[in-house]
Amino acid sequence: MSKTTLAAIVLAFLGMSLVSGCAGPHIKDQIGFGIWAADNDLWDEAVFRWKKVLAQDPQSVAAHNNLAVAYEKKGLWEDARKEYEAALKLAPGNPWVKLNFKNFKDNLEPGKSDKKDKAAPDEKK
Amino acid sequence: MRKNSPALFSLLAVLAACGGGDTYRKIRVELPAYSSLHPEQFEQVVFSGFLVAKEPEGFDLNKEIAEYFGSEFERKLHCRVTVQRVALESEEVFRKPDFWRSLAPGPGRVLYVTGKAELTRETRKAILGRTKADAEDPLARQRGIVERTLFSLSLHLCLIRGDSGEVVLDRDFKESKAYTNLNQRADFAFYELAQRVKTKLFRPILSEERMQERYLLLK
Repeated sequence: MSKTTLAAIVLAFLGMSLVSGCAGPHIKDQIGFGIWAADNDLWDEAVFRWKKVLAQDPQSVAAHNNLAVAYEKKGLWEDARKEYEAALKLAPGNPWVKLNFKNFKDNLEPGKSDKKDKAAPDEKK
Repeated sequence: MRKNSPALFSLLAVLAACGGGDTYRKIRVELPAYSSLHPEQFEQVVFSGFLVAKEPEGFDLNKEIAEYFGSEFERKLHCRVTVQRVALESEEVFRKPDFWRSLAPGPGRVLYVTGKAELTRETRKAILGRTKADAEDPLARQRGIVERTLFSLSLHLCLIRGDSGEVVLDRDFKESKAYTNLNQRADFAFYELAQRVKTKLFRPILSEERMQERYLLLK
């Protein structure tokens, strides 16, 4: 591979990254910040971050799903349901959202909540 | 090629960083249990009796349930607990609001505890297997048939609001335990089985938190 070809590949890649990533990093940061907050039991902060993401990108499956988990933590069942449904509407095949929603419903329905959470889809180790 | 290696390596690293990585994070989080019941709204809990499908001879299941769960309700809900036995004809009565409204003893919000209960005792036979370790141990248990006494407690529990007659909690519990003691007493078995029911019953009533798994999405 000649130097020129390699330089062209690198430049093309960097160009693509710049174009596609201009809006991306900020949203990704907010998602990550929310997760950090959730990890530290700062669920109000997490909600604030994920709501911010949705204000910029209402199609963010991650924000809808994560917000649903936060609402569950706060005992806001109807809000959690709405967010799970929104996430599933955007990504009906997403196994993690599906599993979260299933566990959420198990928690809501009396008599079923004592059953153990179903095995997760193949988890990455 | 060797000259280009660092550049190629950097390119691959950047590509890996962009395209790879996890898409989710599994978390274990304490989530409250959903409760349609607001215990703080009630001033009195009334045990109005259970339809008893089966009970061991000489064992008053209704009395034992009222005594055991009565003290638990008193302790956890901080309200007065009384026993007011009501003539229950069938399970359909649980869904008749007028019936429960007519029982209301007066002002003050009342929560009725009722349902259907069954405590059974049976002797079961089991075949004892021998493991590889048992085969090498001269004092190991012998293969054969052993008997066990199995107690099962089935409880269909309904909690009903006195003011509206509405069922606020309707749950089924079934707990069983086998005992090597063939003469195991029913009251001891009931106590053990009721303890298991208690843990599961008060979780939704008091919205107790329980550790659960959820998945947060990273992108």
